[in-house]
Amino acid sequence: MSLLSGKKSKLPSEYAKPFKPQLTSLVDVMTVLTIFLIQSFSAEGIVHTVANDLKVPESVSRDDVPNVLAVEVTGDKIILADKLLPQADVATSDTMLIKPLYAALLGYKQSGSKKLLIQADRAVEFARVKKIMYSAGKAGFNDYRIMVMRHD
Amino acid sequence: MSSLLERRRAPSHQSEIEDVCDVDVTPVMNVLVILFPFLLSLAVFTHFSIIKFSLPPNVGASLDQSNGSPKLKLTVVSAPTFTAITLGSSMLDSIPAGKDEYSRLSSALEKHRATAEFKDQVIVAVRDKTDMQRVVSVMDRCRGAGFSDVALSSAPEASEGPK
Repeated sequence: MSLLSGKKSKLPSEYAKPFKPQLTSLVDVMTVLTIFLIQSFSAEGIVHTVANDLKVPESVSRDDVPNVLAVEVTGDKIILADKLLPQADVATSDTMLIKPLYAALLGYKQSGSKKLLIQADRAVEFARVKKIMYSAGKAGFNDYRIMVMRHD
Repeated sequence: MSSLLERRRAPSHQSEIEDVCDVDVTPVMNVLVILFPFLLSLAVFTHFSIIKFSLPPNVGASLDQSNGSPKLKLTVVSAPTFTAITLGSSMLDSIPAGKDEYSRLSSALEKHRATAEFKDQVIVAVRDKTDMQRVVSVMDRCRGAGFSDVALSSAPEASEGPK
């Protein structure tokens, strides 16, 4: 009420000073967060993403991921360069050649690169990856790499 | 020296102490507020990497017949229930899947590498039912033991496991 009436406040002088928020703790938090973000800073220029339902194996490898043609292999899907391939019975078929993958890879052969990045789920059986490698080999891709998640 | 210290007058009021210790952090905050979104946009929270491998024919078909006799390369057989180290048809080591499997594999690989003909090449032969995490773990141990050239091949299902 005293403020409205324009009367001089009776508060002590320390309360009459302009309000100064304490920024020290905020600066501390921001500094810690900035250090964390600098550590996870990527200057590679290439951001690699994988599908949500794909968990690549963990490894201690530190080799950088090259920007090459990638095939994603999960339990029920095969995705080549972000395109889902039709597949009938890859898991149960006795034949090694996956025809849709083979046909799709032939389309990428003109680029000249023979490198293929295999992004296989950690739970996928080797038999499935073996068929991918066989089909890729038939299409002329014979330089393979497995994508892994860095683990310290 | 002590007289200098003594001459310093202790602040008598609380407000005077605040005036002495007050640091202006506003510029620091400005810098951090600009830096924070920039770093957040470029941050990578999951680091991916690759494992490069070759197929056994690229390693030299495991055989070097320059002296008239074939030289065999060390082979690590990976199966869901065990890992074995073989040289040709002879089983050098077999490690059942378990808690300390990979540490035992590392020490066994280092031991056999010392006597191996090809000290930088190893073949990882994998059985069909083995999951990829297991394959990658075995390849990691091979690289860790000093084998720089790791070849990946398929292991026949009929071969014997550890007894």
